Amino acid sequence: MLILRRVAWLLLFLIVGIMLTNQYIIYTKIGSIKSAQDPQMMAVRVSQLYFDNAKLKAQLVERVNHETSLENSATNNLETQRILEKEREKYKIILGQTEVAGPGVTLSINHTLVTTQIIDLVNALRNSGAEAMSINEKRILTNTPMNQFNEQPNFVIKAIGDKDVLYDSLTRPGGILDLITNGQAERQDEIVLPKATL
Amino acid sequence: MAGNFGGFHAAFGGEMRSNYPNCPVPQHFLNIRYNKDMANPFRSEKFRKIFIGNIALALAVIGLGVGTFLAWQYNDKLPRVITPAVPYLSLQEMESTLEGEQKTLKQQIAKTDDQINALEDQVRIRQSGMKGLIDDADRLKAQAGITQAKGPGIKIILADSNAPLNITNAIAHASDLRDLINQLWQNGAEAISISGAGSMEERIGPLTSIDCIVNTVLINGTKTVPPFEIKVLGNRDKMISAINDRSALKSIYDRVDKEGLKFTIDNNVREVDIASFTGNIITEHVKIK
Repeated sequence: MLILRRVAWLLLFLIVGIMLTNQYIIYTKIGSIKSAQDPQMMAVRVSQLYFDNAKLKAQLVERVNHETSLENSATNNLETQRILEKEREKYKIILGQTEVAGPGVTLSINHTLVTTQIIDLVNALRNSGAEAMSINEKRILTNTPMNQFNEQPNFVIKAIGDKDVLYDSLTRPGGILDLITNGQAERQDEIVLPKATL
Repeated sequence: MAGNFGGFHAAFGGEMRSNYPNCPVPQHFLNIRYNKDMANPFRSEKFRKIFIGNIALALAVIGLGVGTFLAWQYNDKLPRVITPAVPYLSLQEMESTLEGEQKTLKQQIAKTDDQINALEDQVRIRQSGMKGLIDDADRLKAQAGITQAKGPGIKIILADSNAPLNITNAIAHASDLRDLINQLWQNGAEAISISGAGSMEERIGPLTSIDCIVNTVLINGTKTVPPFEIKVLGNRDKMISAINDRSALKSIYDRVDKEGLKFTIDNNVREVDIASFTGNIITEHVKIK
């Protein structure tokens, strides 16, 4: 009887110990939650990180392949030339030194935009994976200031990239088109962008 | 003096005295007699009975200890669903993992680029006919921001106001950085980078986007928080003049005036060393026409 009573005490305090510790751990963790919106926002951030890391992984693979090809072509001038020309082409595309083509979206806006709206629109397109862009047939590069498009009566914005991703991110509720209004996006299998002009 | 320990003595068989003359100790307390264990109460029979002889108490201590240990073990790995906090915690862990992965990937890309540069140097010597092509590629890389840049320039600080952070206009936004960068390009900046508190320096590159999610800013996909240091390579006078243009940076200056947003130029910096672009430059859809 005495043993049973002692075992009962042991079990009781075991349970109390578990409950107290559990409460402490959970409340410590919950303490870092600032608002009900946080999980949603964090999900967006995680999704963005996942998307960016996938691109970085692809880039790493491309860089490692380039390195390997360069190593293997040490005695073959023609092969080295091919690899270096491919590398040079990549930078020419990025720098807008050549006319380019690819799938993407064309965005038509029939009203004026202020500079900050154009800045936000271009940023949204880059965030959605646009690899090359033009606004009213002018190629957009890293250092293109947007002030030059201020007060133009209408806009045709072309962006090359994954046409579905670009289209969905532009047209989703709360997306950039919602904020600018009256714009129309259209998926296209091939868009041609001019080379950059000074 | 003895009265100060009245309670203690009484508990172990000693005589009780009141500390306060106006509050006499009840008679039944005064009946407690002094006994031989009073000198060392820890050796008293009563003490042993209560604290040492009581196995139940020992079991209680063991029970609590084991319970704590078990609960800690249980919480060590997140269960699938026990509280509404669990999805959040999983996301938090996932975010932390992905941030670590991102940092590693950027470091690996930078390391591979260094190895490619070393290989190209060898090709220049071994296959002299390729020198022109490699030089051309290097020039393009520098233009695209894939290499470090150094020269005269300025450093700008953009930071939250000291006002309470629940005032939206008191904090530095991603849109402030976007406006600022546009203004700098407009005035002839040659290279720009941004670093947040404790984060890597992020060069503004070909595919850079600057986005805001809650209270953090993502630059090249990397999470950064204020204060932001913006390094700008370019003509100092032109850059300073661009920064002082209140009409071009109206949104920032309005909040500097009204909410105390911090926006200054570090006058001690006259030369800047800007890191190379480490973000994504994969172009899988676009091709030369």
